[in-house]
Amino acid sequence: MNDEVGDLAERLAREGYGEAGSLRELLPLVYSDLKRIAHFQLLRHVRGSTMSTTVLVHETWARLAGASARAPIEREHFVSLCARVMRQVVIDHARASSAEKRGGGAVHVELQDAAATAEAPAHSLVVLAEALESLQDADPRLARLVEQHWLIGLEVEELAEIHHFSLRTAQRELKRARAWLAELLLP
Amino acid sequence: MSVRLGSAEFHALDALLQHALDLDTDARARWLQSIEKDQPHRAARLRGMLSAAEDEQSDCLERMLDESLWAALAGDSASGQRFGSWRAIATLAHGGMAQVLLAERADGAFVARAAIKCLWPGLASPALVARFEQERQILARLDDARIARLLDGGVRDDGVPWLALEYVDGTSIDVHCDTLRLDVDARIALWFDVAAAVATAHRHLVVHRDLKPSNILVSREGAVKLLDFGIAKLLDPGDFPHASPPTLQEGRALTRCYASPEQLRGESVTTSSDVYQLGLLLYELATGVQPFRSGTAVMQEKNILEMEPPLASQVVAAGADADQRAHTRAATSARLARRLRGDLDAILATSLAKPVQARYVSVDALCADLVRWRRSEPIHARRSSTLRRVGKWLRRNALAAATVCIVVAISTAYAVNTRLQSIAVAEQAERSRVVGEYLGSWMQQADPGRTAGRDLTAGEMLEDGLERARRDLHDQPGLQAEIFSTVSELRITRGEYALAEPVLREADAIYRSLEDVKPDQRGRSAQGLALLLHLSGRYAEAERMSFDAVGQRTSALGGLAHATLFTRQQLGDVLHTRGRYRQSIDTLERALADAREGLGTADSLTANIARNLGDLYRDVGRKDDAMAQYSYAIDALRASHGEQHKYTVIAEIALGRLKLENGDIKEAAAILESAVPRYARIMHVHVSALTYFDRHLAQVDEMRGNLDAAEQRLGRLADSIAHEFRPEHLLFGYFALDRAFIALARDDMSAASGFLDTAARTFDWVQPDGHPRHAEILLGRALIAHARADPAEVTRLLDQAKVLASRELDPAHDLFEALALARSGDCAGVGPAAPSMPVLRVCRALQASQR
Repeated sequence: MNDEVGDLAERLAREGYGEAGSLRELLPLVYSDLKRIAHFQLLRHVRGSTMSTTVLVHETWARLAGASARAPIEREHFVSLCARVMRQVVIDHARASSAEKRGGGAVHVELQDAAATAEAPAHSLVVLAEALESLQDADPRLARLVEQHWLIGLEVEELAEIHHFSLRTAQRELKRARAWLAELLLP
Repeated sequence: MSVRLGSAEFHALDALLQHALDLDTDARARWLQSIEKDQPHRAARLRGMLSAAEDEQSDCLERMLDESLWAALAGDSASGQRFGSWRAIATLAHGGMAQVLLAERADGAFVARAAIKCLWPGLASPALVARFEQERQILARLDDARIARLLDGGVRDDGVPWLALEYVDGTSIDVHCDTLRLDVDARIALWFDVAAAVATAHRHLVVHRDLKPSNILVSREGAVKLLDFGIAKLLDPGDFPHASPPTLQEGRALTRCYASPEQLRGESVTTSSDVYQLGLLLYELATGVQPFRSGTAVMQEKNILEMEPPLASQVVAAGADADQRAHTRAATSARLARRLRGDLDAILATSLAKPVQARYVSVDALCADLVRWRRSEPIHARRSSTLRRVGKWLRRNALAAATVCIVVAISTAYAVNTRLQSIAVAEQAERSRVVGEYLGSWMQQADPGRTAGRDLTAGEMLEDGLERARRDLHDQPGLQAEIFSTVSELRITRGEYALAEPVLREADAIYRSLEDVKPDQRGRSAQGLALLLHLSGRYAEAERMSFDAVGQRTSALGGLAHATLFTRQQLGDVLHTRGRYRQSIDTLERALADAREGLGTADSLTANIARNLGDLYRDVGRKDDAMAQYSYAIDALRASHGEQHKYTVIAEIALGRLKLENGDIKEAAAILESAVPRYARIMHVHVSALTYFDRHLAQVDEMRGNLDAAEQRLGRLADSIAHEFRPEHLLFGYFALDRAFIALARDDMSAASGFLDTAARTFDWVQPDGHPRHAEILLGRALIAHARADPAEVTRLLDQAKVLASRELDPAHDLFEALALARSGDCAGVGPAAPSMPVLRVCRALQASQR
């Protein structure tokens, strides 16, 4: 694993973080971490958010950074990389699920408190993937913000730090993002 | 929406969006209207986008991710997974411990569907596996058509335990009822099915413990199905070695707002918890409101443990969405309130009682009472709960118990006597006096200030009295109006304005129609109405009614009578609220002189009038005069009522405010931080006055420079009364004004501007001719103009402020110094001594904008 991480770090340093070749290649290296992130995102409503998903992102980064003395990985680059990988995951899942799309009415079987109307999840993933792609075309910076906040779970303070925004600007940008998401996602 | 957005359209819309985001609420609304004219299509889209932008609570992407991605990722795509002879085809739901998948029979024996409930892979700790096994055993015992059946179950090779449950294609009971707009009776009919299923479980020694709408489905065929015995408990664990009592940690997995008090306390949970939760379900189905739900988990727990739920009959008529909720129940809110009032309220109160032993002993007992209610037969709850409450009250008020006995005896005699035809006039008069005293004594007992808020029974008893008066006293309208007035006055002290108003108006109409009203009753209903209108934020009406009341009182009793002086004090208070400071001072000075003469200086009313007058002196800037009145009032009230009486504490708080506005922060904090909590303790129940006083604690924080703490407290206070009062209520103006100056001190101009607009709306409502407080709003706007380097606007606003302030305020008022400082734009000349509140506010704002 350490070698792999070292290789990844070198490649990132060489190729640049923005255009890191094929994201799919990088996926296996961080996939298990991303799954943990997903699990925590899932649980955050259930038990109150004592554990921030950001902590997990940072843990993963620290692990990778520690393993790659040859080419240090910047935290903010890593965070944006994670967010992009997560977007790829969304798109992959959307493709996979639309391939075997199933119907079914609104079904409510609820366990504890995770609100769950499993209303054609496959469809909403496709819509989501398309919305993310549209946003990526129209305003890549806003798209990054969306990925980092919603997919990785960065809070507004962290977004401000990474983007070198003031807190108010970060809040305003999140509002803007929310507006566009509603426009792109809702029928 | 799968259409890709054209780049040009994106940027055009985005430019508009960005512009709108920088505007405050009012400016945004105006600007949107202007866009609407030439770009109607974009304006509509923008409105949608902006409302999504501001709504952090319901975030569509977050919801979408929760519904589809996280579960899919974490579960690593459930579909295709095998569970025995079942194959998963979709994810239905997910929770912290387990997920629920929709599955089909994989062996092709017959077409069947099931909901597979399984632990997340990797989470299968022995404890959780045991709990799964427990649920399986529980379900295997329960065979009731209304409980989702267990079909199959097992443990997979990878150690994941699973259950196959009857798949219910349906919607949760609350959604079902709302969608079909079922009326209360139809809802209760469904509720009976739920209760019967729970009773069956109880007979099998199983407690559900997590009854809530989302666990109760109604199938497409209209049949009720109970789900999720996942945290169910067996009453007799001896039979089942696996059924270990759940720990508190597991208890926390409960949905908080449906937990019973004993569940929250981690005490043993019995069938009584299900009685409680069925009561809660009934309450919510009938009203559309979850009585304990609250913004924070801490508040919610506190509500569940301590708060008596508001009466369902009151809840249905309260809140901005009352009409909507009534509509989904095929009724009007008034009709709904009538339907629930009385017996159903009592049934709910008994089901939701905090102590287990005060609830119905079983689900069957609860159902039996509800059946009686449906047949309009006498219910048990009312009797037992009234008796229980009276008993409680008697235990707490041993000294008053003798009075109660007398009162009960008198009221019984009264009820008998009214049926006799030949009653001497003298006896009638005597009886009126006695009945008045009877009701009056109840009123005093229910006044939270007197009983430290422990007693709530008098309200119910008076309601009985009211009903009886309505029924029996047709031929004695004077006495009837008297009882109506007494009951309403009581309700006003309890903050039940909506309930008090119609009865009081009825009394008022009766009094006005009568020629011979007893002098001490003349003007009573008008005074009550004036107070009610004042407290509930209808100031112009309150002022008119106050003048009317003073006129009636004076002509009936003369100017020096206690009742007249009290009415005059209230008139002074209304004029104060309305910003007519000079007129109010005039009224109160004359009332005080008359009170000194008529009642003496030791009387608490005299002291209270002096305190009121002190408030006026303070607000117009006559600090020494204010101090003199406060000193007298505090001394007199301490002597007559002691330290712990609400009057004394209110006078102390008034003094604390004076010191605070003077800039004596230390002294002010010492007084306020002791007096405000003392007031809260004395009143015990929440009264709106407390909200006024809490605001001063925020001002202490503000003066000390703890701006965050001050802003947070004010925000909380504003939220806490948002549903209680109409937006024109004076309190909202005060909060907004304070928050505006905090925002200015933080150099947050857009927030400040928004708060100033809100304050302006409130004060313009309170006094359309220009409230003196409006000068402070103009000052705030001048400070914003100063930060934007617009000297012409600064001058214009400050001139306006000065003209407005001069109308009511004394030239020595600190506001004038503050206005001058704002004009100079420089605080360098302010001395080292503690600046007054207006001066400090200006200097902080100027400093902030210079940074």
